[in-house]
Amino acid sequence: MEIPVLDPGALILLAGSERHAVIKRLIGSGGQGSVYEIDDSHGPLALKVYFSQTVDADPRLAQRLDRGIALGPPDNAFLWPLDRARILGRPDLVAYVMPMRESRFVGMKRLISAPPDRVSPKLVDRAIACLLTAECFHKLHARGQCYQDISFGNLFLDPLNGEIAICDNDNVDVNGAPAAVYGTRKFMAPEIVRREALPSTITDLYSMAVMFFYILMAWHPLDGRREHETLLLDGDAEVSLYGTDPLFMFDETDESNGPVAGVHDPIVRRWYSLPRTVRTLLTRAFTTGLKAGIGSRVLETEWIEAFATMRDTIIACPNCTYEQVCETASGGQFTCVACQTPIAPPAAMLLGRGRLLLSHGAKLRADRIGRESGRRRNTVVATVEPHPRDPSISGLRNLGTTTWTAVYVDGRSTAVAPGQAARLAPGCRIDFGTVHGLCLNEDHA
Amino acid sequence: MTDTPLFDMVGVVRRQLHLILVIDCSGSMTGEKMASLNYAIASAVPAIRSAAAENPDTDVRLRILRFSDQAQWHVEEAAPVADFSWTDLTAEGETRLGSALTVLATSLTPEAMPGRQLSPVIVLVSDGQPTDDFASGQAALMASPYGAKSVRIAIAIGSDADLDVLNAFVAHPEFKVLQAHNAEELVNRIKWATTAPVKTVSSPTKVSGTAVDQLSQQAPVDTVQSSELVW
Repeated sequence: MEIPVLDPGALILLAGSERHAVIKRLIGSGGQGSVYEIDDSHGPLALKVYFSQTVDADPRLAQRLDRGIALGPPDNAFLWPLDRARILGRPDLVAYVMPMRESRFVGMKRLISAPPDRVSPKLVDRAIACLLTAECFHKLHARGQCYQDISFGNLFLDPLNGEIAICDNDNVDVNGAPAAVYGTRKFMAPEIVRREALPSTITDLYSMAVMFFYILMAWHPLDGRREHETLLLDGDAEVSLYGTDPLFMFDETDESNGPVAGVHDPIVRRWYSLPRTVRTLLTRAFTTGLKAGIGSRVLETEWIEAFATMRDTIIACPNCTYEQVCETASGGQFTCVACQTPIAPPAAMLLGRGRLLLSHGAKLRADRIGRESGRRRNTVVATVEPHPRDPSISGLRNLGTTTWTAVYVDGRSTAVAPGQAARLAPGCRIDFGTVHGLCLNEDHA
Repeated sequence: MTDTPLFDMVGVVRRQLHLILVIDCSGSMTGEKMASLNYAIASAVPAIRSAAAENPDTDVRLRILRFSDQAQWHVEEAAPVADFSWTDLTAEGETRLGSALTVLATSLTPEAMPGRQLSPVIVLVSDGQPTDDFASGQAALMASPYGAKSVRIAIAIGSDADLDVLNAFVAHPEFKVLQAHNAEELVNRIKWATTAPVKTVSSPTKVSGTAVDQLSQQAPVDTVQSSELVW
């Protein structure tokens, strides 16, 4: 295999824009080629140069790249091919440029690394990462393309806010086209493991559900009792666990692959910290969804709604700090899934079809009060905080750019300019523009 | 319970991948060959470590078995790759490969390798002809519970290595012994043999079949002419 080595300073011509750029440094080499940072007059870019073996083995590569470049990214989270590149003096090499991955992003596999490499985002940021991942692949699939290899190697996460970046978009192809890869171990749909199918939109949906399970649980959905009792996981055992005889660890009708007490306890606890809607979708994804076919797989639109709801209903136990979703209305009975301490459910605000728990520190995000998508939906437009002099009073601080109107049950009404906080009182209504929020509980009176 | 970690699945024990190097330390290895092999393994360790880091759900462990007049563990306790440091081997005596495989076979059992395991990877490095009964050693290896399921890779150093024996050890129709004709190739072959099997656990696959099939397709091809032998 020829591994082309390009020295810093080597000259690059960007084919479409006819701009020149210079190689700055080698970022890394993988199975398909090497990635360099290059200096372009418009800022830093990444250059991927393929090994000749990759090009020879993948006759559709050039066509896929050109198609991707012409279409542009489905969402800015995709580090999408921007332009083909020619390396001066090396006309034989196939290469393209794409945006650089920002340093705030870490590989999703760091979610399951051994300490100290492990990253441990808050549950809310895990929900956001799932939400944004679902939305990105929805946009990709909606235009008739499939990704083929959703896995740890190519999804990246900002552990501080749940934003994602999707790399390796050179495998993206028209759904139904001959696949360039089978996928990655443990993420491949069972029908691919059994060699009955090649990657497609339908298998992407399965791999994406595996990714959600990893993001939320830091664990694989099919690794229950059977995996635990498989002392030597060789090729045959792997085909059985993930291909011919897959069984969800939380399958309620067949518990033979259920969690093992004393081994999977933290995973069980995390499972019950998730909202019922998300558990229902995950259960579907890994029971009926183990069968091939678009009809059996959970679609992105279903995930998006469930993760948005989850994001807005997470609390931390005041006793043990364990994060969990609270689905009990204010005034009801709720106990912590970790330490079993009774917790008073916080008040909530209804926003259209959404519901935001009004615990101190809760954040209202842009997609609840406007039609935002992608990273813009993640913008925090308001936060719940205690009154500076009387912590028993809660307020909603306007962190956005537009003025709201707050109307209280006694008929008083007030404008809430950016930077100001509106008192949250039972029955109060805050008009955010196109959407209004209704405060439900007397705890915040 | 007042101190619940937010995400405490860290406590779940990871599956182990044992990487076992079986090294020919016979007299013919004396001098530059042994020094060069020591260097090749020492310099592969950081690469193994970084391949292991790419597989966070796998606990990569190293064991080293040397053989000359007898087979002897150089590193018997499977050492986590994170804190592994290489100590040099010395060469002397015969090439008792059969005896090495017999010793190896006794350690490839669920009792000797407790806990959840991936197929162990055995990398055999040799420069000569076995001076004992290779066939019975190989038979013992293939009869051991984990030996039969191991991923076996062989590296032949120089032109005197017995390729038939090494291919019999690998026992795969397409996966042939890797040849190292000079020091640089040895470094590359050792690095490939110790990192590629770790990487296949988490990298995208382009071939159908087992991990060994996948490896056999990625294996470095022997491009050096025999006239370029330096040893």
